[in-house]
Amino acid sequence: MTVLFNDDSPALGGFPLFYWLQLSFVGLVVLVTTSVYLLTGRGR
Amino acid sequence: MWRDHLTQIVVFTALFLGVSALGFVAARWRRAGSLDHLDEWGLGGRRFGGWITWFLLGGDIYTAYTFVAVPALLFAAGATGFYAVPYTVLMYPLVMLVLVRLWSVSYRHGLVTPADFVRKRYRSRTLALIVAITGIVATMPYIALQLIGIEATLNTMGMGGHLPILVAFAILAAYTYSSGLRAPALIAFVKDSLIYLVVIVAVIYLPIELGGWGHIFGAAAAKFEASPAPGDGILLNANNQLNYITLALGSALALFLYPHTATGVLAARDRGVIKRNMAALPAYSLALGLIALLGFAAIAAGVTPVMKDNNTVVPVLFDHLFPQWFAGIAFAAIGIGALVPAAIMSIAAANLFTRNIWKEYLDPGAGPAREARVAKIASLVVKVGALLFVVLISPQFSIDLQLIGGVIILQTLPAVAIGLFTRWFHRGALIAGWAAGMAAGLWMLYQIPNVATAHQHFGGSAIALSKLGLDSPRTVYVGFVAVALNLIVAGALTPLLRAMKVADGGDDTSPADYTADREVEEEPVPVPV
Repeated sequence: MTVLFNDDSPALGGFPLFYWLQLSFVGLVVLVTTSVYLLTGRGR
Repeated sequence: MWRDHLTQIVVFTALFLGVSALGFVAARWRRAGSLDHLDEWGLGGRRFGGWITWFLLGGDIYTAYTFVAVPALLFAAGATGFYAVPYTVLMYPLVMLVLVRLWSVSYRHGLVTPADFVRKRYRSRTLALIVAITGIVATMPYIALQLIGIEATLNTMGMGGHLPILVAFAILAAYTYSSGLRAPALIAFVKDSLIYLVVIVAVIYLPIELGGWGHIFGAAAAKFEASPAPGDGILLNANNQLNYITLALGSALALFLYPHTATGVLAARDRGVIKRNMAALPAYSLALGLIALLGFAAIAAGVTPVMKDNNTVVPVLFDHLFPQWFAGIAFAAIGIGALVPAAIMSIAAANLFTRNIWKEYLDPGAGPAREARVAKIASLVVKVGALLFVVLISPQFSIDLQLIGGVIILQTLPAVAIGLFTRWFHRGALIAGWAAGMAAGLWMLYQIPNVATAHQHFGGSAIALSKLGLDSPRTVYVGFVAVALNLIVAGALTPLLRAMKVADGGDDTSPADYTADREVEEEPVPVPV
């Protein structure tokens, strides 16, 4: 898995790919957990 | 020497004392029943709503250790240290799946600890005892690490010696004793506000001071280029990628098995609170990732750690670049950030001791009031034990103990986490699997030398595959291998024990228990266990 993004470029605002991509995974997991919460119904 | 840091010390002390006062006041906060009940003292009455749970779990998972040691790891080794980000990302879907079920079954049966659940699910005192002891042993060095976080900031302010840390700890012990889980819950509000303030300021202000993130990464790359150590660099290399992945996954699995995570989750009011939090908590991971990169910022700023302790790099960075008063606030954020998890962990360990050792084996007649009293005293004993770790053993060694803690807590995965989904495993097979995983894990940890400190054994958690008889220089996370073995043993013995008709206890839970939720406006009914 890490082979795919273990790289410098493309850099984003001075962050090498390895760093900004993994930080963006945080946003991804928020999307996933939020949709699970909404799909399974509030409070269930 | 401490006179140079007078402003910092004044700000730090003022915030620290304010928070301590809050800890004592917490005893009266949102109280429904008497604190002489373990549900009230040890789980805050199971009534915490969304916001409180968010702060409590945030304070629980993102400890001072994460905020101090992760940047220290990036400072020393580079990209490997960034595993903390995928690790905390992987954790939330897992928690959502697993701990929500634990909440339901615990609510239905009045369970307080993961070991309580194992007792109920497998009708096995022995298995419950094993889970409880594993939890307590794994938690102790974790608490010790929180103290090391406080010590790192105190050392940076020039307050060496053990006296300041003893005083801080005595205060912590006193308000945990009197207020229980409500104290860290209330203090977590202050802690997180301070942490976020510091993170936002640090992430905007430091790159401007140091010439931008591009420059910071450049400086880090140059440092690792020049160093002789083989495993460092701002990117991973061929040999440590497998370790990076397994360490992130293994740590995520270990974290939700720790008793203090369960304590934080069980204190929630209902399932919806937990699920909403799994969607909201990753905000902390973003903060964690940015804090981790402060390790590189420290390289760019040319920071030298105090007393050769890498854990001081972030405090020293703040000391150099922030104005004195703001450095004081930042230090207080780290210090208070250590108190919250230390309190929750000691409560979790005390709950385990009281429910699964004291009541189960020594004093079966104990009622809720006596349980609460025993737990309060146990929380003090646990903290004294952690303090002894810090005072008697060198900081480097306790970080190694923390690595061991992660490996051993992982061995409760089949019994607790998988047990929440299926009762397929035979209880005898689980005990055997635990023993095999534990033995293998400790053996592998024993084989790992630490080059930096010239220790022969217990020098880390990444083992070279060549040590396992494979012809490869790649490294892998020990806990991952150990828990795989654990699962294989448990999986192989289960059909065997069934075929031999060895008694398998039974199950005191029903499938519906795992999806039960609190009815609206229902008053909690204490269920006798």
